[in-house]
Amino acid sequence: MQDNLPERPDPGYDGTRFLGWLKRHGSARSLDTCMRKLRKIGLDLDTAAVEWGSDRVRRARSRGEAYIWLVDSDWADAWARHYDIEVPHHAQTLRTKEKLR
Amino acid sequence: MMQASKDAEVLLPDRVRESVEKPFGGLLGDTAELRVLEEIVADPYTDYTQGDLVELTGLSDPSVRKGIERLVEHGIVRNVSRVRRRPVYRADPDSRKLTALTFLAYASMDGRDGTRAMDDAVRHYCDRALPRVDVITVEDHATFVDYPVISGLVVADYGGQGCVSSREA
Repeated sequence: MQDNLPERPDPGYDGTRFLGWLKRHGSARSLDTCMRKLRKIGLDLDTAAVEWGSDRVRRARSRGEAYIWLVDSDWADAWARHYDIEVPHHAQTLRTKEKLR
Repeated sequence: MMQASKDAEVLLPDRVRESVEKPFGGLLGDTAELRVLEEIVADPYTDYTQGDLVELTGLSDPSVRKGIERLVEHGIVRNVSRVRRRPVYRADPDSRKLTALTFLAYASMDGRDGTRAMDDAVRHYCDRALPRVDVITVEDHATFVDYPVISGLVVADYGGQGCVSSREA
C-alpha cells in the first residue's frame, strides 16, 4: 500500500486543498490572497513552503506584485487524486453522509 | 514571509499572470458573478460565509450576494446553515455544472501550458464517480438483445459485445 503513495512530500488533506485551489485559479495567485486562503484553511505558508520545497511551489513576482506559483502540477495532482479531491462528484456526498451517520 | 521560497523568487511568466487575472482565463469575460463562481470551483470542499467570499475575491458585499444567489439558483451551492441570519454556503458535489466547471478550470490551464490536466481529471472522475462498466464478449448476441435487462443490470448492444453496467454508482 505504501508503494502506491504519490511522490513525497505529502502536503496533507488541507495542503492538497490549497494546492488544488491554486491550480484551479490557473496555478498562481497573489501572495495576499494566498495568505487569506491559507488562514481560512488553517495552514501556515512559511511552514508549508519549507516542507513542499521551492521546486514545487515558489514565490514569484510580476509587475511589482508578489505571487505564489504552483510549479509542479504533477505532484499536486497526484496528491489530489490520492485524497480524491481533484473533481467534485456525487460519491463524495455519499461519503460525507456516511461519516455523519 | 515565506522565506524559503523567497530565496528562489522568480519572475512569473506574463502568460500566467494574464490568465490568472480573469476567471477561467477570461474565456467567459470578467464579471463579479464569475469571480464568485471561480472561487467556489477552485475549492468546493470549504464552507463559505458571504464575508469569506468578499475577503477572497475582493468584491463588494452586494456583488458577492448577487453571485451567491445565482449559484444557489443553479444548484451549485446551497445554504447549509440552520441560523437564518447567518447563511453558510457549501458546494454541492452532486452538481453536474460544478463538475463541468472544474474541467473547464483545468482546460483553461491546459490551453495555456500545453498540459493534459483535464484529461487526467476526466480519467480520475470516470474511475471514481461513474458506474463501473464491464465489457464482455458474448457468443449468443441474440440473448442480450432479447433480454435487455437482467436482474438489475443494464445490458446494451455494443457492436457485437454485451456492455454490462450496474445501475448503482
